[in-house]
Amino acid sequence: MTRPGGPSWQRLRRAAIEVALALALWAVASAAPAEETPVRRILIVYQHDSLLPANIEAASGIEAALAAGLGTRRETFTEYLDLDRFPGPEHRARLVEMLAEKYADMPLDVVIVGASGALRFVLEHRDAFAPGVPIVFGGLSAPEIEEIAPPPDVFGAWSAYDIQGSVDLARRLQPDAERLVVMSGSAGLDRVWDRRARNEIKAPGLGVEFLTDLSLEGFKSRASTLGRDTILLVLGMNLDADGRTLVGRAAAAEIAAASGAPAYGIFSTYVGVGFVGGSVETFRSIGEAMGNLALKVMADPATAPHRITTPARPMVDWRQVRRWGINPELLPPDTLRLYYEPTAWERYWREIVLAAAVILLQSATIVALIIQSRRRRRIEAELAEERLELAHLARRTQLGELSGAVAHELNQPLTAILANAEAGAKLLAQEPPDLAEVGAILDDIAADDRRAADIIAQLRRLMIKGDAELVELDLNQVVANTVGLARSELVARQTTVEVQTGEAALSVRGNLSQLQQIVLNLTLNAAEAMAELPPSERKIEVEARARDDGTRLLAVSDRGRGMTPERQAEAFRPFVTSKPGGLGFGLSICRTIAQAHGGTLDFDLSVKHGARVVLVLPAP
Amino acid sequence: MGNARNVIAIVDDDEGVRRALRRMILSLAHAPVTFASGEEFLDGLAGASPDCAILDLHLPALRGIEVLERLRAEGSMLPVIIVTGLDQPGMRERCLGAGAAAYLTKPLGSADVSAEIEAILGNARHVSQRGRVG
Repeated sequence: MTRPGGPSWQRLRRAAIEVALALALWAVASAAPAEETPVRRILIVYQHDSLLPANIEAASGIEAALAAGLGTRRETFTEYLDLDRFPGPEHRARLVEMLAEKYADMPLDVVIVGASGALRFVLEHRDAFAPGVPIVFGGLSAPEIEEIAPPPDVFGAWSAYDIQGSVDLARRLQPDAERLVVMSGSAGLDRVWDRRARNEIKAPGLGVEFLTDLSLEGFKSRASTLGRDTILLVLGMNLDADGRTLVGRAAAAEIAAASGAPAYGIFSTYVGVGFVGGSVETFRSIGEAMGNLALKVMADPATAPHRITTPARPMVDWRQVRRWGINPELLPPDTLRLYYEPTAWERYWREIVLAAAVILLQSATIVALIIQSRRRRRIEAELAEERLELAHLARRTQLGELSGAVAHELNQPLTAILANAEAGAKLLAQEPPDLAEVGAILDDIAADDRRAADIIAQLRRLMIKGDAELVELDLNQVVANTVGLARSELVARQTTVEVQTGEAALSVRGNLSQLQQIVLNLTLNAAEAMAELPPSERKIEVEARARDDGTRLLAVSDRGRGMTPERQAEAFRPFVTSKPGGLGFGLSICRTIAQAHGGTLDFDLSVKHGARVVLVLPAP
Repeated sequence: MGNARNVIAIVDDDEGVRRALRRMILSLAHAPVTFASGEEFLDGLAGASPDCAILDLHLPALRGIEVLERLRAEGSMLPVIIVTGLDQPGMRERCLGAGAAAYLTKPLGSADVSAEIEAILGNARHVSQRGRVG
């Protein structure tokens, strides 16, 4: 057993610390790269100046590839030789001297070269500034490369510069074309393109014309004479016949702008300056190919491929496709569409689909609501019709009960008319006839006739079904007429009616026959309620007046036994009746009529003796 | 048929009917006296001394049949012609049973009224004469 703090314990502790330290160091060592990648120095040499679009695009491709392969462990140097604008030997000598001095103490790992002139320069002077350094080139076509015949430590991303592919694309987009015009400048490289085109182009059925050795103005002038039946193919345009050095892209743009025919090219830089397009490699893809090839060369020149090919693909400027009215369906499926303006559908199809769905849903909802609303209106109309029917049936039933009294009521004027007429006849037969009395008799006959006609009109109004139209009425008049019609019946029942109405008309909006029905029903109900009373006590009070709030009140009171609140509530339900043989929907219908008038019909609960039914109608 | 003017009471609540019947009675060469209700008639009966009454069955408050019954209850033998605009079943028998001399339905023709009056007043004279004899 070892005592803590003793010599054995201290040894043990020291050993443990040593082990821990060793573990920590091992962990740190294993986290670091096993073999550190050295910083690579890459020189990129361009033939032209730094603002040439092809150079800008290619530089971005190279940068992307190198950044992906090396991260930050690289140093990139760029030289723009500007050989086309400064073609003399002095410029080249100065360049060589400058480069030699500049990179004397800066060992390079690889030189990337774009364009044939630059490659020639580098191959010629590499010993001065990059001796023994492998070279990677790109953007050159096979004829150029074959002419240069680079040595074995030169690796290349060969460009197809797909002349035939561009012609094929043009023919596809212009199926009706009859001519093909091919333009090339006067520079050596331009002539290489012209030769290639003459050798390679196969366009059966097209008249092909090659134009070269013209001034820029000459090219533009010829282009302007072309028509829609022609395909214009513009190749290299770096020098014109006047000896003017051109920036290919700018010159080509001027020619395309002047052209009456759609223009095509083999360089991606032409797409976007007025050309429809072509089968092209992008300079960015050439840059990426050079960058990737350089990485392989730096890693192991022995295994790096000496030749890779950058593929071409159809590329169009969407604006030019639109401008020339070219059918987009003719485009090959893998076409890269620059400046593509998607249609509203392409851009917003989700939103459009969603909106359409919402609109459809809304429309469906609206249609459903309309159908429902129409159905409801139809049902309401049917209900209204049935209500009219029922009200009419109730009126007829009531009139049936009243028929005897009505007959009596009609017989009164008829009696008077007959008696008057016979008396008049006798008076006329007297000598001399009492003409004054005969006149009075005739007046009475006329009055009684009108009275009979009124009764018949009232009856007819109650008998016919009519419509539910509301018109302006005098409620006092409605009460007077109705009570008059019931007079005989009330007399027969030995029941008196006291009508309390103002002298002025009491206007309401209502349906005459329906309001009469209410008055008649309430009046006869009141008479019925007092049947067991002695005749002297049978008294109905009918009151009609405007209330303070402008609404109209019609109240019919009796002195009968009254009803319990339960019976009152029940009385408004259909098929509830205390009358033997009664249908029992009189009050129910009266309330329905009142409601159809926007009013109410209720018992006056404050009345303790007898019953008082109150109709309230809205102010007119 | 008597030539003398008989007094005929007309009891009807309808003014137009009253006026027309009044003219009819005048044209029949009788003397009409009109009453608007049963109560008015019973009250004025003594003063008017009618020979016959044309009594409407449908009177407010006191109905025609009740007027007749009251007359008879009071011992009056006044001939009464009941007239009605509403010929309800059994009413004719009831009225005749209660002592009505005749039962006519409206509208009334003057020929019918005249015939009834003549018939009634002939009987009444006969009854009255017999009464006096008796």
